[in-house]
Amino acid sequence: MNDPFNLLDPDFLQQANAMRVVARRVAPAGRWAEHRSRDRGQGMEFRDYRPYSPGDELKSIDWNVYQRLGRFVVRLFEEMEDLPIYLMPDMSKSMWHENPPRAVTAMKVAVAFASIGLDQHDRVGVLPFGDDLDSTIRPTSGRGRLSLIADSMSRAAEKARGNPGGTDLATALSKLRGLRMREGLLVIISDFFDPHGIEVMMSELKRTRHRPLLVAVSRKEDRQPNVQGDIRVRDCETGDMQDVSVTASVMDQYRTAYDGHFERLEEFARSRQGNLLFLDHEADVMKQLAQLFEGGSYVA
Amino acid sequence: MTFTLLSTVATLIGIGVIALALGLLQRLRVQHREIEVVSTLFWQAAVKETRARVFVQRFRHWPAWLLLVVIATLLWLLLAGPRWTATDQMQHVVLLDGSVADPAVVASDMEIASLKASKLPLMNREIVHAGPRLETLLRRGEPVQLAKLRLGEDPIANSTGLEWALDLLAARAAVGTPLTVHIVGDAELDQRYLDALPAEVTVYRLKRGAVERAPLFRSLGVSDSASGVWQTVDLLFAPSSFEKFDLKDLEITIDGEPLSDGVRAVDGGDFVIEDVPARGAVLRFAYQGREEGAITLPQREAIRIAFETGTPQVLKELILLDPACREVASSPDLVVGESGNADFCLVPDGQAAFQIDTELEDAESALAALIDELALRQIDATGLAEQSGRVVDVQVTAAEERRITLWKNLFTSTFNFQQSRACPIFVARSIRWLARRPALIPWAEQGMRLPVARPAFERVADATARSNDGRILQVTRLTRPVLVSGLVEESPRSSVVAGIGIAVWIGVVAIFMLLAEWALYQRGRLP
Repeated sequence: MNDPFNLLDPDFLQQANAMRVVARRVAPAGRWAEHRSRDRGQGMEFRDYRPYSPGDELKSIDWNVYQRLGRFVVRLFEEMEDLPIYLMPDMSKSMWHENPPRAVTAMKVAVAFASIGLDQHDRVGVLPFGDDLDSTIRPTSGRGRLSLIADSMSRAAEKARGNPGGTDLATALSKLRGLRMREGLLVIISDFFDPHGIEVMMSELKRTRHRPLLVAVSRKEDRQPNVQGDIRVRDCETGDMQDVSVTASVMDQYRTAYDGHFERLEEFARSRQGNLLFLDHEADVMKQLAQLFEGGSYVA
Repeated sequence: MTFTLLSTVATLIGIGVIALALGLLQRLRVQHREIEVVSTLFWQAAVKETRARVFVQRFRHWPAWLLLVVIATLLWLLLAGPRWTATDQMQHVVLLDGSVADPAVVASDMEIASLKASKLPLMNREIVHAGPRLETLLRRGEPVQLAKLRLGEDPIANSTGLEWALDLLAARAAVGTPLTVHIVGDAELDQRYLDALPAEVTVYRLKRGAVERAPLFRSLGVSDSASGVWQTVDLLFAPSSFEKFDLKDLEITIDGEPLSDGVRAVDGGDFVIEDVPARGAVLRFAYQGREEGAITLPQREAIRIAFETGTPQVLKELILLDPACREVASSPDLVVGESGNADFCLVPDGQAAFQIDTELEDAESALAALIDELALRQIDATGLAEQSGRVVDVQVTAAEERRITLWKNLFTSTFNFQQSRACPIFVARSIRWLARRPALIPWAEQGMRLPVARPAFERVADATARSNDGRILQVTRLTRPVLVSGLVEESPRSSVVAGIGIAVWIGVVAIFMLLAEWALYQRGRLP
């Protein structure tokens, strides 16, 4: 199998498999798995009673209650279902701008989450995005499907590297919403440098039903650029120019704008019981992911 | 170092203004280094915030600014016309043009001269009045107030220009000592004359701002006497306002003696006085008891001529027919004859037909002027050549004294030159040229200086006045009489820089620095 980005590194995957994603409660209508569902069904954990209605299995009637109260009630048990994990690695031009590219880090994070999800029987969907959402990789489950996902992601990445586009997270999220996929964990792995601005991005993020986990692939220079003098910065995606005379005041303003941008994202993530993880793409990916998995588990 | 085109203060102020202007421009002139980044999102926000809050940014690019200031300063200095001058050696003479005796003009000129002198080094300045003689009004080290006292209230006017005064000053200056002459007045100075001055002499003219005043006369002048008497002139004066002018209130004096007879009105409200003796007297006009103008009449003394033995009778009679000429036996102004001492020298046919010695060094330009001044153009040279069988040519050579040498046979029956109409004109003009009797300057404009005599003097074509007996008098009319006073600025009339001047070096350095700046800019070392 072709693995140009070395996504299936055994050591990396071994460390990933030691982590778990635990859902507080998954959406109903899922497949059997390890997460507690809002469905009532045939699980082991007693959850509630409800009046008997024709069609219910007789074995589910609680006869002790009938003996005391003279009424037929049915015992309900908690259903254990899977947690859909939707991985959205950013494949836009800004993710390929540096060497090594941030897109590879994003794919490694995606593979780590895919490995974790597949290992616990969750359904994993990979949806790379740039200026649009690539929904050609079908969501899948089963421990043996990791290589398939990695392969599909590599091919999508090769395609994106050859013809990178801009970043339009709002469009990608809008398209994701249109797919009407089951509510799950949405892992967006990006630099979040959307030229359309934070407001456009936030408005679309707020409309998604999924629990967000935002992984910001960043560098130290993103917040503290090593520039001085009179510069003309050119956006690698849009080609927009901006003349800047770098002063301490301008740098302060830059950092204020940068911090404000990610504070908005973090605020949104926390409001939706999610998280924002800054991932330095020049450092060890797994060590940084481990910070997210306190005690080996990430509660979604 | 001194500056010939700008004052030192103006030069320094200019440098300051240049430095300030470049400093302001420096804030606008920024060359950006292009950097590709993953996003300009935060830069845009930062710049927007900075623009909104920052009024004045920190000044950057000091080296670039300094380099530009140096280059611009060099160019500015070049514009200021710098000259290497040892300040302690440069001598300054403020020369008062004394060609008008109008007290108001004289007082105004004196003020200007005093103001200029007060700004010059105490030990290197003089004020000199070019009246009938060169009179030093202020010596080195003296306070300027003395000059006014020495000039007096009634200076005598002079109408012979300033070149003689400049010659004297140039001769008086020590060899190798630079001399700057600041002329106060409007006397014409020929550029050729200025160019011929020694390299150490620089001549400026002090310009004056205009202050309007309505003088009584708009023009005032003399012309050759219509009666033909050489020793007299006709005088014309034109009141500025005919309606307000009453001849009864006008008092005319010549050297203090009243002159009331002979004033006649002519067309256009002008007045003529005929046959005024031309003895160099000052003629003054007082109206209602107030002095309104003065003019120095020409001094028309006869040209005393001695004839050597052997002078053709025709020539002698021709010369003596001129009322300006008188034969004398001793102390002549000119000698006519065949000897080597003769000013108007007759020689055998073997030499050039017309040989003219002139003090002008540039023989070619002198010839061009003399052809008209001596009426050489009117001589039928072709006819003479045919009769003599020789080339008839005019040779002009530079010499210390003026002299005209020509064929003796031109005044004998050998040729028909003596019968030609060009002969008396040539002889008369030659005698006058040799005797240095300048042509009469007919008219003076009220409030202005008398121009220096020269052949190219032009009159306004349509400015004529007709006398009662039908004679046409040419006058210069001023539609707006103006008196000038008040020192404004100084402009150079002559500036000579020996060898390669400092201006050249400054220019060379400026060019090299411009090239250096261009090279640094190309290499990205300068913004």
